[in-house]
Amino acid sequence: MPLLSVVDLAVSYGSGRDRLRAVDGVSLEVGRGETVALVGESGCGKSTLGRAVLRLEPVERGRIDFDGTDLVGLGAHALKRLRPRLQIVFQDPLGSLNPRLTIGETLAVPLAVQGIGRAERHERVGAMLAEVGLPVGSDRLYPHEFSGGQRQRVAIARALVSKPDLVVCDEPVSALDLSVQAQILNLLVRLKREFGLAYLFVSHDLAVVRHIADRVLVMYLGRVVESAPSEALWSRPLHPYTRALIEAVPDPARRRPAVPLAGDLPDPRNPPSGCRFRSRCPIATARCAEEDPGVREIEPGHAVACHLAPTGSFETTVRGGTP
Amino acid sequence: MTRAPLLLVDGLSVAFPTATPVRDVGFTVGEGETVALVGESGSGKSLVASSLLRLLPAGGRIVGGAVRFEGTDVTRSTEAELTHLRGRRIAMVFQEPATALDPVMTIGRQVAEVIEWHEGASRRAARARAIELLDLVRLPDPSRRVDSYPHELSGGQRQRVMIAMAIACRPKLVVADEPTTALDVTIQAQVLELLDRLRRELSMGVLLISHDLGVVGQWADRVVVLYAGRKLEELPAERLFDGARHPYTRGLLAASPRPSALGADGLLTEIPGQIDGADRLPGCPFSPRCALARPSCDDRMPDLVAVGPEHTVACPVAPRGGIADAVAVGR
Repeated sequence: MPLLSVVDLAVSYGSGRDRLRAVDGVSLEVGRGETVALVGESGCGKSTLGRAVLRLEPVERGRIDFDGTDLVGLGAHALKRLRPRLQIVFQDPLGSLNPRLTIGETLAVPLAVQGIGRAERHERVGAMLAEVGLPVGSDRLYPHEFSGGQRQRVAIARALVSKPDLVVCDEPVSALDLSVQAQILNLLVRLKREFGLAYLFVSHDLAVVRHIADRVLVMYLGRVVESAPSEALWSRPLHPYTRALIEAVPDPARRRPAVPLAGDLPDPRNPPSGCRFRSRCPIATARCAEEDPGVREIEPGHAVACHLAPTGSFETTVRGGTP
Repeated sequence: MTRAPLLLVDGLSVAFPTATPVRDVGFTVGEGETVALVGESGSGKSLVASSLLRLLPAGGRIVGGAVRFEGTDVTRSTEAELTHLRGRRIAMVFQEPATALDPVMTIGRQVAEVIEWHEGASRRAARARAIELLDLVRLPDPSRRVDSYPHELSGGQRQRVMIAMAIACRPKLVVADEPTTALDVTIQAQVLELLDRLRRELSMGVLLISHDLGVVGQWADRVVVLYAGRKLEELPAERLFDGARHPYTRGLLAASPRPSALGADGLLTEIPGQIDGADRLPGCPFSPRCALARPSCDDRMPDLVAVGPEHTVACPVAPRGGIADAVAVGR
């Protein structure tokens, strides 16, 4: 049984004509010790989905089974008891750490909530800070006394101190410089190995996702358009949107970029009929406007929501578009 | 190149009361050429860009060097001469189009105002020209969109409007400061392609400021690598990936998450430490984080030495060979 199993989850804001369904019928599984990435551009619903899994967003419908318990129907008290096992690391550690608490105090809060005594709290906080590579004495400092990279180490320590099984990482390295980003990504990989963590890793950065994820879900306008083991996604992307995303990543080893995807993201309150990607898709047909493609499994573990994938004409159409 | 370059920055230093975040930086941009300034936070790349139009933040001033644009030293220009230069001869595109545009004025008015101000055009003529420009930057349906407000446009469309304003007076040089950092990757590709097309069609020089090695490697002709206010390396962009010599440039390439950058343990090659305080060091600012540093690196800043065509490196111990060796060295 997977650690986390999400079935047909929907999250919406507003009502009537202004209703925005940020996540619209997404299913996914995360196994113990596995890293599953949600990737996509602004407005695709990846962060909302990541937060909804922790019940930080209002769930409209669907199930969230965490280790055998459905979180959607869970009352506040039972949810609180599960919280130590479900943690999150945000993009901006300065905004997510309390500026008026020392790092040691911040890390002790989740332990105090669990009723852990003072001496053990102190010991576990110290051990956790050492684990994430912060110098001795960091527990007495305040968030503003750290650099951006060090603050992200603090945020990771805060998430891990309660010994979670699942950590949602919401763009954890997006605000960091490249040289520091590599330090934090390596730290996440080491900690995952050491503690057997599972990550739900939310990111817009395909290079980062490729590096860290075991499996990847590509999202567009609230839906999953493709899901696959990481290597399969990169060696054999099936959805035209996945292909366009991969081709758009600037690569210093590749001089001239491919033809960029045309157009802008449609208004998410009024998504296109049928396939939501069709208004930007270079190979869309009349059928794509009429019929929602639904998710099909093409090979074990590799599923795609596209009427036209995979077909022989696919490659030439995407790569040979007009300049 | 026999003619004088469009822009020549020579020995530029920028100081604030308590720090000197740009020290002795020099490079050129030729007509129709794209030159990239690449570096992380604190590299001084945006300060260099602001210096070109003398738009430094409060307290900052140019304390050394020259900025020659079409032969004139901008550091000695009067305020009236600068006004002539800004927008008309040198234009800027900023990172955040949402804050650079006026939220309560239509985009058409904002583009037209540039034309009225700089060229004395009538309101009617400026509006017609604004529609032409919005069409040139491929804003969909320009004759209708000219009356839109910034919030009615997407981030990519707002950046197209910023570019339309920048090219309104046919500048010779466009300074694009992280023009796509706030945009999604598919929109980034559209905007970079637009800038490159306009560069060719209007034979403008482009100074592209970026932290993204992928972007500069793909779109620039030459790349200037800055770290803590110092220029460490300059090389042709097509050589960036295989030919970079400076340990910092190679470290950045090795730290980029790409399959070829992974070690056997599945980890990225880290650059240890952080940039803080490096701008106060008398020697090479990168030496505290450099695996190859020798004691002499801390004594004085190494000179930039030519190591190949259009390729200079400020590192006496810079190794040869491709990035694969850099990964090996880093371990």
